Amino acid sequence: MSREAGVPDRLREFLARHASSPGRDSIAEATVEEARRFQRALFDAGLAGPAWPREFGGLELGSEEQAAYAAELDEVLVPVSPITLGLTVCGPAVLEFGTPEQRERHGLATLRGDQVWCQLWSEPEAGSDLASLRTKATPVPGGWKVSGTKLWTSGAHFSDFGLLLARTEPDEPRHRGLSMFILEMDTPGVTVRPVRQMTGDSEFNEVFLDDVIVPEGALLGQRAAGWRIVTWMMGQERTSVGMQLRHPLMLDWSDLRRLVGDSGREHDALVRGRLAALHVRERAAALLNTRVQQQAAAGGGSILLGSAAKVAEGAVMRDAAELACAVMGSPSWSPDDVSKAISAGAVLQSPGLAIGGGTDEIQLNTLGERVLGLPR
Amino acid sequence: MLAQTDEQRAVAESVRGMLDRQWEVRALFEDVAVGQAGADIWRLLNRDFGLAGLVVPVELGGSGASAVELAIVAEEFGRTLCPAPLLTMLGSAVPMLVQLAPGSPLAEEMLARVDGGELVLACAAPTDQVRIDPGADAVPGQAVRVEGVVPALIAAAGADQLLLPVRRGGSPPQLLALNLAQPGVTTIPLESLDLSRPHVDLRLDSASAVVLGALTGDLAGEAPALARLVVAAEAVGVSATALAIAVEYAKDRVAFGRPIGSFQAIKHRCANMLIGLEQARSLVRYAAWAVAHDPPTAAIAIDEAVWFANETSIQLTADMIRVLGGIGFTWEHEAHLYYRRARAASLLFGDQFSRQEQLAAGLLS
Repeated sequence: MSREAGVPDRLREFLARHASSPGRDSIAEATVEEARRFQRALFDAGLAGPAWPREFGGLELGSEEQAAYAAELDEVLVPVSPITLGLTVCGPAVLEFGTPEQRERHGLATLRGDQVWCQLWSEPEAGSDLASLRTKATPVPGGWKVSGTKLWTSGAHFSDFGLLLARTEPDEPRHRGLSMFILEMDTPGVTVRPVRQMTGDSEFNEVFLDDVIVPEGALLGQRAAGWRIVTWMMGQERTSVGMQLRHPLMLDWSDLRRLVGDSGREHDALVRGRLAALHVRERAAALLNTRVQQQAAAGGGSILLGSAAKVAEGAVMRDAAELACAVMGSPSWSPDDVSKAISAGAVLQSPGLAIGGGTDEIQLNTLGERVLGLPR
Repeated sequence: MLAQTDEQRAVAESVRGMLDRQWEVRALFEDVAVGQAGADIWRLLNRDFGLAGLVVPVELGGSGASAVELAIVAEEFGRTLCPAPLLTMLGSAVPMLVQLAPGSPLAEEMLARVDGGELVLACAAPTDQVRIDPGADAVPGQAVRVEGVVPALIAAAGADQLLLPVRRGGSPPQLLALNLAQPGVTTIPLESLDLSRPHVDLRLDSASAVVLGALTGDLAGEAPALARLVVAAEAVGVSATALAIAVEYAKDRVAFGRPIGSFQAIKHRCANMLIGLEQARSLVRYAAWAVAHDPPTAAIAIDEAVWFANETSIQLTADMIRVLGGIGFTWEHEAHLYYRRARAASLLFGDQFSRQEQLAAGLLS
């Protein structure tokens, strides 16, 4: 394809060579190595970072081209989920709030897949109520001394850097006393311990910070202005174009349809009805997500509606997993039965959808209070 | 394609303003002849906004707007249950006249009179319960007599003429036009779930009619695409009002010393209503865009939008009444008017089960 072809067309051609069509044939998600390789190839082809600044290797596409770019990604499965955080929220946060040195150090390297990121926010005592977190950062000569424990940190075990939220103002209440830091994960005092989920996998971790020394240059943005970065990042997550937010174990409709077909239940009237309904619901949630992105790119609309899309998507995936599980036929399977393994994986991952990334209950509170204006 | 432009926002606002000046939903509680009121509002809207010609091509004297604008207007109509016959006129009647105008001077003339606001039409679904005399080989322009029953017709009161598609075995249905104010037409009022949309049976006893021509394509079927799009968009409007009523009440009503909207059960119910509404709106916007810009995907997009928007309006009107509590269950509160509309509209073109099976057949064949 000629270089004069537009980005979305070149992306389509690239994806035809590097991505798989939807239709899961295994339950394994991409490894971080596969993700880095894919992202590097995408970068080298001049196709990475639709909204990333050109100064740091991105494309800075206009809103229409961003929409076309995102539409190409809808058609395929790209192996990037391990490095999603860096590309959607952590990297953009450094570009938005960072010093020239921080942007220089992390901007291009993150887009190219050289630097992988995690978010060190939640703690054993601070999940939904993040602002109550206790990890503290105390000033020391040349920097800060950090101590505390983080929990639910996805990808900490393979990340190069983390965006760490810590309390720097002990006398300020809640979110007013928090600052954000860029933490190099191999800094002495950082211990990562995997946490096993009910699926059997260990995607997330406990991270112990024992008197970890970070340099002054690790502070991102203003001191005690960490919460502003948190809010920005939460909005960014839903409006980021071009990243697939579906968990790799969860099924999309075409996966589900194949599983139902494999089970021989495709002619059951109730199953057909459920399949039809799930198709429309998946479409509705996807279109709302696209609309939130398009509105954000056009500079209007409430990004808080991204919470609506997340809750809706989660409900569809949960119900899809329910149907897949229901047609399994029996609760056990031979190790080479991929269909059954996929269905089991989906139904075991299901409960996490309404909990991770902000529980449904919190999302509903946010929608009720900040979109509908209902009283706290 | 899913984000509203400033022009589109302006269309919505100006339609809303015009509707607010002409119609208030509480008028349904007065002893008003809904059908006639609707026709009167239609004429006023046509005078002020050129509504009849909205989706008529410019060459035929219309403003040449697309399904996108039609959906915007329809959503506004749904918000207040305005009885003006948008659904029949722009969903069925006008598209039929536009299709036949090139080959039928009579259809073209009727279209001009519709554009001018002097002609209001009712439109029936294709029927084989009506007999044409002198028969199936009647030609366009020919005067005929018709005999039979047209069941469950909406927007008949206040209409001047009826467009009546008559099936002829495997051939394209023949579209007839007949004057409703003639001795051979008897109107039999029916009970209706929806107080904003009365239904009637029409009995035709040797009524005189004229043949306009044969309908082809989508307009020859049970439920024209634009009509279904209008129903879906109106359902979004109904849902939007349901949410607005619930939220306003939740902010004002005090119980246990606090506004009830501060209780999570109420807050979460409202938030879930919002999630349903914004998805329905997204599906309708996509379907309207597809009619205008990506016709191959439009048919299924409309099916999806109709199914989801109808289900959403049913859910949200029920939720609204839950939030309102006892007062929502009274006759005097307008909540049940929306609840009734949501259910009735969901039954206009099949029901949720037949729609679901139709979707399944399309997806799983």
